[in-house]
Amino acid sequence: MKKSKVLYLLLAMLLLASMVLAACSPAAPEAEEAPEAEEAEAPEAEEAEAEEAEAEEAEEVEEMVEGEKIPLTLYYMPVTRFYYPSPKEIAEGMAADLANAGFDVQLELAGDWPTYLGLRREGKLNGLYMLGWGGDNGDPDNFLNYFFGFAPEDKVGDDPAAWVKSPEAREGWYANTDVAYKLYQASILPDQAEREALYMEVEQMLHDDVARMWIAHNNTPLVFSSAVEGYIPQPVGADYFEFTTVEGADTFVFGRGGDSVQLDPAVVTDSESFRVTGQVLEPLYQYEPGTTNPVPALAEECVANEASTEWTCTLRQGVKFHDGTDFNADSVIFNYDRWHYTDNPYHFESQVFEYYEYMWGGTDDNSIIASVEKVDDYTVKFMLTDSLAPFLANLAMDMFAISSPAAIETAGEDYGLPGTGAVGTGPYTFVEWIEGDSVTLAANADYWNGAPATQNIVMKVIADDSARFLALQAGDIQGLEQAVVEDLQAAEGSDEFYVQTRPALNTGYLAFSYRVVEFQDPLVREAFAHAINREGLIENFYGAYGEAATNFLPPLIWGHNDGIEDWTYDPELSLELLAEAGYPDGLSEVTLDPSITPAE
Amino acid sequence: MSRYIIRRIFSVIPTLIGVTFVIFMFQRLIPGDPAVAMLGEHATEESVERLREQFGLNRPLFLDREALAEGDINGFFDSQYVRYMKRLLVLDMGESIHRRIPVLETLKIRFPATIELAFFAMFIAIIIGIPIGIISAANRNTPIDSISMVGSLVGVSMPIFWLGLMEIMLFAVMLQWLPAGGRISVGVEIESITNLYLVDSILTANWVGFKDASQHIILPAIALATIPMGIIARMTRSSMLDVLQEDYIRTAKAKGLGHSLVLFRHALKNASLPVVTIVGLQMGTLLAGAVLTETIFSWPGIGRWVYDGILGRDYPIVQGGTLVIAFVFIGVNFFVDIMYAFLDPRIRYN
Repeated sequence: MKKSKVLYLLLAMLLLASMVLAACSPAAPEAEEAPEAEEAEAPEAEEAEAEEAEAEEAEEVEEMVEGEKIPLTLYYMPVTRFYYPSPKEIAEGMAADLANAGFDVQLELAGDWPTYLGLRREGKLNGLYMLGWGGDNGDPDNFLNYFFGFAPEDKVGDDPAAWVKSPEAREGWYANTDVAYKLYQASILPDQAEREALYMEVEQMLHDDVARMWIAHNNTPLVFSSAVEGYIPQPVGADYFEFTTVEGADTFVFGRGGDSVQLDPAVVTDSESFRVTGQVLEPLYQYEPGTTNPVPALAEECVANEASTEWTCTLRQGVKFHDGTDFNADSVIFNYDRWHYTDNPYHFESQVFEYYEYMWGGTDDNSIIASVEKVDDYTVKFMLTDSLAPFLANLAMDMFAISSPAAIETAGEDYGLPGTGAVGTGPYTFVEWIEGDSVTLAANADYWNGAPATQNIVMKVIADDSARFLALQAGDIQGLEQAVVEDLQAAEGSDEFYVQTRPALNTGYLAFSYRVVEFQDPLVREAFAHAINREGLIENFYGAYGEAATNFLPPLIWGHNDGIEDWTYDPELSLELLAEAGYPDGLSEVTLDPSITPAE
Repeated sequence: MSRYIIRRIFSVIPTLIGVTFVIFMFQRLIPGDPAVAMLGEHATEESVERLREQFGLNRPLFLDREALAEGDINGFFDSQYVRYMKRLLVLDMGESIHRRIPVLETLKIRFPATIELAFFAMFIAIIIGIPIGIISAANRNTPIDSISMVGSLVGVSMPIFWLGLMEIMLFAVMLQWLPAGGRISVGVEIESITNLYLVDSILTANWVGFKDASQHIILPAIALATIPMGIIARMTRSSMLDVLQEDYIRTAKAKGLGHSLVLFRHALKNASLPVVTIVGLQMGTLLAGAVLTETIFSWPGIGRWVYDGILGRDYPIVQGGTLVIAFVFIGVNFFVDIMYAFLDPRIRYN
């Protein structure tokens, strides 16, 4: 019959179309592998192939030939983040400000979030780009040293004073050896006051040099029904649910925008996973409620030797995991060894222990933790290869919470999946996880710090911001994170609800790609700094919850330099500075530095 | 007839293979690496590489020319696509890159949620859309006709997003009659058999569960039903009008048969052919297009899941989800073709 013929025809067309597409696809892995094999015979072909692959890979970002003029481009973020609540509008605002000050910027959206991150990794955002940073452990090191410190490849030789900060080819990042050296010192000094002084100095240097333009810190609003009391939003680490009470109910339903990825905190990086695991599992230290200060949790205390290379931790006694097994030195060592050693039977090949590698310098021999040794049943000793000032802040991170070894042994690779959940020592025990829908937790009656007030916690996924607020109004949930501005205003003006904010541990910034020759001139950067009206941006796009950033460090973190005087908003001055730098007609095109090449 | 059915069943196989190929390729043509998407900003090169290795993402997409050059025939075929197809043959759809949960396991829970919602919505669309169409046709060019056609036009062009939020505001927040979202209330349990909550609760005689699940499905189903309802009403009307012009209708009327008898007995059956086609097509749209409804009503279905999968570059989820949707789409079309033969005896499949 006719219909089936049409079907076959369609099928044939589909196949044909996909063949054509496949033929001209970048076939990225092939292109990467092929050159090695062909190297000997045809070096030219290799170059051509690599270039071709690159050009196609970055469809949105045109391949730029070094030395040639390219348009001055501002890449804006494709997703909403705390630090950039409406990225497109903010970018348009910045572009308008810049236009008044002689900068003719083109706005460009480079793909979606994974694409954007990928392009940045490869140093292909050649111009100005919007990004931000959210702190991981509340230590200034985690903000400043990560971006401005020495990279592993800079550390040539044994004398840190002789190290040189290279302009990181991969990212086209700011490179300043003085800054990097101070950050190195601050990362090993045990004395907090000395460290603080160094961070303040570094902030001043970054400010004076306009290394990047700090735009804003944003506090996150949470809305609760007035029946709810005692929820503690944490600037770092998971929020505290254990002190929450709901008038007339034994269940607290919290609405959130996305689901957890997995409930084994060691292998995930998303805050929705930690929101759950933070209630079920505990690290040796935790952050004091409402602050970024590390305070003892499963450890009673951790004491360093004089060189800060050995930390002896006394563990809390009589604590049991939810599966009834004992918490002791062996369980701490089991967990740390699992993360540390790639040949550990529970360091599964399918899992990446991202944060362990990132916070402790790598796995196996690369790790700054040489070993964790058992002194007695309730004492462990962390042997470090070097002193590490933020040791306690790291220890308190959600990712380094201690899981029941028995649970991991039983569940194996499936530990943390919906079937098993997480098994720890925390105030709540895992009950159920319906993927994409909700996670249910129940109070741990035997919790060492006293059973929590509310019997059940349900964390419910409601992806849409407006629908989530309506669910709160309908009484389906009693608390939520993130709402649209109109709803927040409604909540603030109502008796039934109240708004609570999580203090900002984030900074939105505008980064310069230092591959651009013009950006290497401090005068040009200063001209940028005077061109952007931060207060205007905050008023229009952040509402009551944002604050203009003068430092990279949010004001909440020690090391924030209050003495820094912000760049005034002064477009006239920008024009003068630009003229002084040799651009009397303003800047609309820029040049790429051929000596800094992006990573392949 | 049976020969036709068998032939059609066999024709499904190449279509599905085509679907797997297209979906597989299209996803990998979008820039953005799943490993980078998963590991985020501080990922080291080594971890990215390890993850790529783990999920076979470092293998060639289709065929390994390099291996062929070395005379390694097994290597030549050891590509991402061939590996995927091999596993698919034993119904292994792989596991989510981010969550490591087998795709099939999630499908077992999420797909019934979407099916349940889609069928319920289609049921609403049919029981309202068809009568409206008939009434309009029977009262052609009267105010009733105009009102119903304007109404159905509004339905067709209704932004689901807006309608959904308005429904929640009215029925959940202001009147407090129905829940604002989700599939079931916290604390209500339904023993899972088919994972279609309405069916499961009836099978287990769980009336509390049935009531709760029904209350949850009403609002999203209405939101999802609006567009097909409008389309069905308009299609029924125009098809009825065509049929009502036919000679045999005039004959029937001339014989003195009652108005409604002519309408329902003689006209409706013949007018239903295009309507059945439209219902079939809309069913596919309902399954695939439920993303918005699922988002607003926090309905844990397949649409939202695939959507998140695309954003996170979670290839196995996108592959699994779309394949199932394609399968149902083909199935529905097949069913519609068979229906033709029953509705119109003149149609013979040979």
